[in-house]
Order: sequence, then C-alpha cells, then structure tokens
Amino acid sequence: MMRVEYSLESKKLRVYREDCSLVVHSDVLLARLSGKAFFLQIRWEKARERAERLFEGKLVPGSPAEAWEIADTIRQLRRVTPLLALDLPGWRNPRENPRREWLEALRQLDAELAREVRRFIREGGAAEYLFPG
Amino acid sequence: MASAFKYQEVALRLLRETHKNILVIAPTGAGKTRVGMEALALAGKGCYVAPTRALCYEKFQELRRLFPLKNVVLGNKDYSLWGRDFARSDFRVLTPFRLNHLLSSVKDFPRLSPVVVIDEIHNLDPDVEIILTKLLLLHPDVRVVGLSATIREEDEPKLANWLNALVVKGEERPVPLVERIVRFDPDLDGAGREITNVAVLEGGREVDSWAVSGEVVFGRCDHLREICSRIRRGGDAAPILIWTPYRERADKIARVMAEALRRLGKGPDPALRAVADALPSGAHTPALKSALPYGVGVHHGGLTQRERELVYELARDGRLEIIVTCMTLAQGVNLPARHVVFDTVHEYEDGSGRKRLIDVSVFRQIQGRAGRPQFDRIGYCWIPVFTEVELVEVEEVLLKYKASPLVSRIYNEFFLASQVPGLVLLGFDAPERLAGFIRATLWGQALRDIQPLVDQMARIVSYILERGAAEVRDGRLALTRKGWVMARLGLHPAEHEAIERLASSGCLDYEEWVRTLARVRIDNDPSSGFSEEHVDHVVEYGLAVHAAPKSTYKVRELADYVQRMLDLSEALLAIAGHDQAYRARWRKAVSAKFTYGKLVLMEHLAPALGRDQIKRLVRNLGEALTKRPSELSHEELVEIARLLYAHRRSFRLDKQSRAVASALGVSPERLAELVREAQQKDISQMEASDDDAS
Repeated sequence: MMRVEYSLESKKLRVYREDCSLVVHSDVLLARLSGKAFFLQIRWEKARERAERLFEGKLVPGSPAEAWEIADTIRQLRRVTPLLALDLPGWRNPRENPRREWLEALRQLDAELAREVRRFIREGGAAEYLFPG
Repeated sequence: MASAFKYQEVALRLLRETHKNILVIAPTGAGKTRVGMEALALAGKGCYVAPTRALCYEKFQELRRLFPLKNVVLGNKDYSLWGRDFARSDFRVLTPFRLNHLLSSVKDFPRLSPVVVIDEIHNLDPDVEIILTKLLLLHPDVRVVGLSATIREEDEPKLANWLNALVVKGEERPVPLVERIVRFDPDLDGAGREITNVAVLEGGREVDSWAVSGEVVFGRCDHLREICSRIRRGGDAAPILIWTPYRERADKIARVMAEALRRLGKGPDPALRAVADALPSGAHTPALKSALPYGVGVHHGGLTQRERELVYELARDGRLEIIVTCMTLAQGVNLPARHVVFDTVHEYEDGSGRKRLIDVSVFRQIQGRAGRPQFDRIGYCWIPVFTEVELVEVEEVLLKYKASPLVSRIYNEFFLASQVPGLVLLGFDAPERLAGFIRATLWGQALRDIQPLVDQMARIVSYILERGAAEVRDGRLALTRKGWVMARLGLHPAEHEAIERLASSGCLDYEEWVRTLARVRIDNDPSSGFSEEHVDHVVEYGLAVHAAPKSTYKVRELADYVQRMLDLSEALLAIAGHDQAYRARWRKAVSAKFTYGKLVLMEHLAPALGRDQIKRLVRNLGEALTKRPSELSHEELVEIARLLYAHRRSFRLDKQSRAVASALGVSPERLAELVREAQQKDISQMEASDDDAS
C-alpha cells in the first residue's frame, strides 16, 4: 500500500510506493481544497509564494490589482499537475498525478473567489476600478 | 454637410442660431468630427485641438481635404506654429500645449479664432484643464465646441456647467454592437487527454461552445487564434481588429496570426508582399514586413508615421484580414472593423509590477470601433477570459459602466507651482485671485469649501516668494525677473534653478544635464512615476528613444520631458544673457546630442536642419536614421522629403533645402522631385479618402 510522509516544516514529501520504492520531493507545497490535500511542486519562487498566499487566504480581493493577482495565480496553478492527492480528513486514499481532481478543485476555488470579487465590486470596490490612483 | 444623425442636425442648428458653447456627446463613429469641422466652417477661422500628434496629423489631413481653399496649418510636437503663421492661417490643428502657448502670445485671439473645437474632451489632463480654464476666463467670446464619446451621464452636467455649454447627445450607435465573452476552461477528456473547453457568452447566456485539444496558452496567443477561427468558421470573412496594450505584444500577435494563416494554406499576396518589401526597416517594422504579405497589419505609435498611414490605407481599402493595434486606437484613430477582439483586458499598473483592469473609457473607445457603418449590420466585440474572477470583473465593471468618471488631476502641487507664475502674469496676482482662477477649473467647481484651496494657493505663493520668483508690492504679487522668466517658459522654480546652476557652472557635460533635469522631476514630483532605470535609458538614447527598441511609454514620456526642458533651457540661456560662445558650445554638446543621440543619418543632416525638422525626423523616420545617406533607399528619401517639406503648400529651393540636398548626397533638383513625389502621394491618399467617404 502506498505510504506518504510530509513535513510541513521542511516541505519535503516522501512517497513509499507499493513496490517499496521511495520517492522524495523537496519544496512541496500543500494545498487543501475541496476536502482534499494536493501536493504541488512549483519551481518558480515568486509563483510559489503567491500560491501559498492564495491557499492561506491572504490573497483577498481588496483592489483591482489583487483581483488580477488572484485570477493570474489560478491561471498559473491550472498549468501545474500535483504530485499527489489525498482525501481529507485522515489523509486517506493517495492518488498520483491527480490532474482532473485538481482542475475541478481549482474551478471551485475560482468560483468562490469570483463571488468575493463580485461582492467587493458591488460593495464599493467599483470606485477603485473607476478612479485609478 | 449631410446629417446622418438627428443629433448632428440639432448641433448644426445650434451652431447657426446661437453663439453658445456646445458639448457634443455621441458614440464612436457617429460623426462628431464632422460637427466640429462644420463649426470651423461656419466661423471661417478657428482651432481644432486634438490630444495626440498622430490624431492631430489625421485631422490636419482631413481638414485640408474638406477645405482645399482654406489655409490649414498644424502645430504639435513635430510642427511649431508661431503667432505670425497663426494670424495668416484659417484653420489650425493643435495639441493643447501649442494652444496654451498661443493663448498667451497671440494678440486678438478671439478675432483670429472665434471658435475652438476640443476633440476627445474627456481626456482631461492637468494641462488641458488649465488651458481650457484660461480660454474660458480670458476669451469668453470664443465659442468652445467639445467632442466626446465617453462621458458618464452623471458627469455631463458637471462638464456642461464648467464649459457653460449646451449639451447635444446622440445615443444611437451607427452599427449595433454585440458583446461576446469567450471563456477558456482547461479540462481532460474521457481518455484523460488535455483539452480546453471554450464557451461564448452573450448577455450572460451561453450561445456557443466547443472543445479544443490541448492547452490554450495566453503567451502563445492561442486564445486569439481560437477566436479568429471561430469567426471564420461561420463563413465571416470581414476584417478583424485585435487590440493589445503593448507594442511588442502587438508585433508578436501579428507574427503569430500571419503564421497561423500560412499554416491554413494562405499564400502571400504578391501585391502586399511588394508593399512590405518597399517598407524601410524601423524598430517595429520587421513584424509588419513579415505579417503584411499574409494580410495582417500592425498599427501602433512605435511605427513611423508613413507606416501607420500605409496600414490605415490598406485597412480602409479592405486589403487586410487582421489588424493588430495598441493605444492609438483608444486615442481616437479611426480604424473600424466588423470584429474587435481584445487580447487581454488587463494592463500593468504604474510602478507596482502588477496588472489591473483597463480603464473603462479606454475599453469603450476601443470597443466602439466594432462595426463599419457602410458595410456591417452588426459589430462584434470579443473579450477572452480565463477565470471566473476575470469574468466577474468584465461583467461588473467593463460591461456595466459607460465611461470612467471625469476626474480633475490638477491638485498636484508640482504642477500648480509651475502654473502660478504664468497666472500671476495674466493678472491673478494674489492668493485669493489665484484661488479664484483655480475655482473656475473643473476641480474648483466641485469644491464646496474654497478655504482649503486658498490655503493651498497661499502655500504655493510662499514657496514662490521664498524662491525669489515674486515679491509683494502694494499687497499684490509682482514677478521678479526670475519669476517673469518662469512665467514665460512655464517653469517650476526647481527646474529654473537646476538650469541656472548648470549654466552658471559652464557645464557642457551631456550626461550631467540630462540626469539633472530628469532628477528635478523625480525629486519634486513623486507622482510622475519615473525611475533611475528610465533615466539611464534616456541618457543612452536621447530623443531617439522614439526609434529605439524596448522603449516603454514611461521612457518616451521622460525623454519628451527632458527635450522640453532642454528647449526651455536654450530659451532661458538666451533670456538670461549667458555668453554666446557658451550657448553655441552647449547647443552642440548637449541639446543637439540629446535630439539625435547616436543616429548616423542625423550627424550628416542635422547641421542643415532646424530644431523642429530634426525632432520630426527622429520621432518618425525609424531605422533609416541609423544609415548613412548613401545607404538610403528611394522610399526612404521620399519619406525624408515628405517629413521635411510635404506639409508646405509650396516648396522652394532655398539655401536650406540646398544644404539638405547636399547632406543627402542628391542634387537640389532631385530633392525637388522627391518632394513632388511625396506631395503626390499625399494627394493620392486624400483622393482615396474622398472616394471612401463618397
């Protein structure tokens, strides 16, 4: 049975496959979306930082530039295929290269953030778009 | 003038029956320009003010075509216009900056220009607001006709009150518009292969959808290829206009689209290939050269004037399948097509490195080009989105609002401090009077309490007094010699002091002059957004940034600022009585060097040319500037002749033109032939436009 170890501190992911082989990935980012945990490897540091901010809920639509940052991050994340997905809670049922699930989870995140952007624009944020600077 | 629209009839009646100012608001392509030109025709004399030099040139040609018997002159960054020429002419096409100069220098302005038409009046930058206020206060008898396509309804009374104008509105678009959002959503098919689902939304409803195999990547312009294929799939062969905010991106799109057409089996058009081969090579020309044979044109400010006109003509004659454009389109250049496709609706924010949604007015102006009145029943606007977040921004902002709010930006203290000496000279010689002037601006009209304004003016006046530009006499401000110079030249005290400091030390170091002048702006006006990186670029290229690759808008803006400062420095050196020998050395070592930098052709030509002619060549000639005269092609020689002389009604072989001929290595008679050929080209263009109009 596949076994998974992940250190939040070192961001190292160890996967012990059924054939007992071990694969170790460094700089792995953990994203908890749609009741699942996705392990992502994003090489570009700037993109990794932005993705982290998005998953931690720090990227919020408070200005037009932040709305763009959200959209752009989602767009970039779509091009990533996670190394692994697990069901939450309990980190069960590991699946490798779960692209379809990942795209679906991102779609839900996008829809959720789009609702927040709409709320932001309707509750006074429109002025930020109309009066730049 | 035959009026196609009801609002035009109303405007014309008001022009004939009243002497009131008029504010004309009508959608893009609904014939506002014609109303402005009719206002000039009725008055017999007047000024047409347009925001950019490209638009000025377009209107200048249009006026010359419409009124062949009138003396039409042009005054912008490329063409000076002095009081004497102003008095002799009938119609003048000007940038706001030229109008400002003429307002204070031309005696009897109202008689010589009983009407002033302000095109794109919503482009209210600080200079324009001050200039318009001067016009309204100093010459209340001059009729102002403002034209705009993008003003919010709630701003109309504000602008009309300020201009004391009657509003004439045309709501009807010449061609109805359909807005289509195209959504790209990556997915996997049943077999786990990468696909992209594409959906077309119209009014919030999905009207079409399909799947594309593989990823749709923005960087590769896949989305544009997909939208264009969708348009063509329905058998629609009408021209497509693609808009993108950046020139380099426009070049890339043109190349990609030409390649896509080639792969679809489209061969190069021999006639277009011949046109492309004849193009001189400029910084952005390689993209145009490679794309043009496949019916793909590029139109943006990085091209030379001639190249832009060529693309414009080809587009007008229906010979281009795809035209890729940038901001020239948003600034009012008239390039309609049935389909307008946005590459993106986001652009970089100044300085932050992040992007934001484009300005609503810019979006509306570009979108307004969809649909050609004589050919199309409907115009289509296509907006790609890649996420739900972008979709919400488009729906809630771009498609919801008609225009950006009209906002005054004159409260910038650096700007106001440079205006105050000029206002003192015009008689606004006390803080209360200055405040009264500012009160008459659009900004001032919106203020409920004038006291903060009086306080701000008092602060600026103290600063001016502190800097020795003015003194108080009998309770009134009186300009000192320094203040008078600042007023005449429109200088900020810090600018004046920097120029004086450099000149007094006898500095002839080009780099020190350019860096010092640029830094005055950076240090005193943080909102300008200029950086040291911009300064380095400008030091290296001088005004030739206009022909240099990878010059951003900010770099060009800074180069234009330094050029203006150098022009003013030269005037200041003369007024302040600096040694003539120093001035001559300075002109060569600093001013001339900045104007044409390292451009080989200019080293030969510049000694024979006037300052304006040099600037015009540098801004418009492209890569021919880097050649020796002996390497110039016939086309390039004609273009030089055109830029130097074709705008004149008549050409004479005088001392100066003989010197130009000698510098170009041609005989004077040959130069005269080149000028005739250039003028003939202009006439053919005008005739073609006539055919088109009829």
